Amino acid sequence: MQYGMIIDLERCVGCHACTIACKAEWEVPVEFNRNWVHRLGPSKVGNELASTYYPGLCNHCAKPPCVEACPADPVEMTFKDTQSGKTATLAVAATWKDPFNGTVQIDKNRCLGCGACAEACPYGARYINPALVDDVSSDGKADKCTYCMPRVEAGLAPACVQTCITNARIFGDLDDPTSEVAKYVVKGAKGLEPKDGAIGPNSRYFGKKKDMTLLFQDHTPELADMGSVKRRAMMAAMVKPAMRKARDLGLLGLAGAMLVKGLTDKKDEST
Amino acid sequence: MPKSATNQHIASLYHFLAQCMHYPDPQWMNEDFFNILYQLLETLGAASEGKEIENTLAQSSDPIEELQIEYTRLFINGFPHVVAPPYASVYMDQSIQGGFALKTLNFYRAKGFLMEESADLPDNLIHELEFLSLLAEEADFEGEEEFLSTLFRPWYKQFCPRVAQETRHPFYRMVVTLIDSFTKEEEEDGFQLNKA
Repeated sequence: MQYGMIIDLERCVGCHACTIACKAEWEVPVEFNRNWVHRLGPSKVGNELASTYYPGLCNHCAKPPCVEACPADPVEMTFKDTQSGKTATLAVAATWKDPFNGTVQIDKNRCLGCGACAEACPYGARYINPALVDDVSSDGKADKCTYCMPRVEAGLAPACVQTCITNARIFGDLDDPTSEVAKYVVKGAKGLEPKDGAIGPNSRYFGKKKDMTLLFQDHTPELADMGSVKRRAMMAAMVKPAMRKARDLGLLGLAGAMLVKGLTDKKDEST
Repeated sequence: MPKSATNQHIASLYHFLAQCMHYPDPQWMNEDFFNILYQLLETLGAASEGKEIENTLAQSSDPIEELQIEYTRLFINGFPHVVAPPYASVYMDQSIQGGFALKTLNFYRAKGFLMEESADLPDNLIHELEFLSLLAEEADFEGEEEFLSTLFRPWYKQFCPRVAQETRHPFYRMVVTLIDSFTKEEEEDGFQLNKA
């Protein structure tokens, strides 16, 4: 099973009801988004004028780079298939891809708040919510779209899907050939695969050729340099406690910095 | 790249390392300072190296003066000659304030930074670490990488072993090793303090 979402650009009217519903449902801070709608065009595509929207959210990728980036110590977790009751035990970091429903989830209790996953996500679908702090992280916790799993498990549709006034968002199991989402894939719905990447985004778009061209030309992302993202995150996680103490004690900068941001406040001193 | 806690911690780290390379002064080189250093070493899996520094300091009647003497011998003036002047040009141009210093200054300027009048030469190790801290704070990750690979590592990898081998004080051996580890491009995603 692989949950996925189709966004039918032919139906989307750019009303933002999905972004508002998501914010309300999950108390997403004003400055962050689990989903978004960007207006595209009007732009010339070939000899035509194209105008559409980019409603984006976590793609719950087949090979999610955010999961690989997580530096938290792996622990064994047992997953349960809600349909068959089967279980599987895997060693996972603080974020993982569910082996049964294919969604990418976060354990906020173990999240270090380092931000490596957010930097690794080519879609910008993750953010660090600074309001979520605990003993593990005083920097906040990573957060993102969950495909509304708590709602789905309770038999509801994701909040953005339920609220969409034109039924432009369709949610279901991509592995079930009889599902509406799978039928859209057969018709040509495509995900925004990054340049040089094969991470398999499971939120897919369907629309007129010119609109799809505009969307893909404007919003095909690039993969982050994973080696350095993870290295920096690990480095930061290791030095964090000592550096926080250094800042708290005012120890940094006692010797005086000699480099200054110059171009804006350079004074013309005439002698 | 978003401004994140990761960048903030890395900026603080560069700043702390720059601080370590200043002339020892009890104003900052105090108990708090050493406790932070020990804590840092402990989380990096180098608690025994921290202990070694602690023991060396404890054995001295005036540990700060001892560090000042060693700092002078290593970086300012020594007999028969100074061990390792902390300036890039010394290693890249075989002179002080050579073309490499100018290149470094131009890089600062291109990023919008000027040097205070009281500052040392632009290619001084402390200024370079301060600059890396400022870049990290601004989340200029590409600038950081470029500076490290073109202007920092080429000379630092010559400077570091000189200090590590010649120093008589574990504090400076540890500090230059820390700077080395944090500025080195790692083949893997790991961080390694001890040579393996």
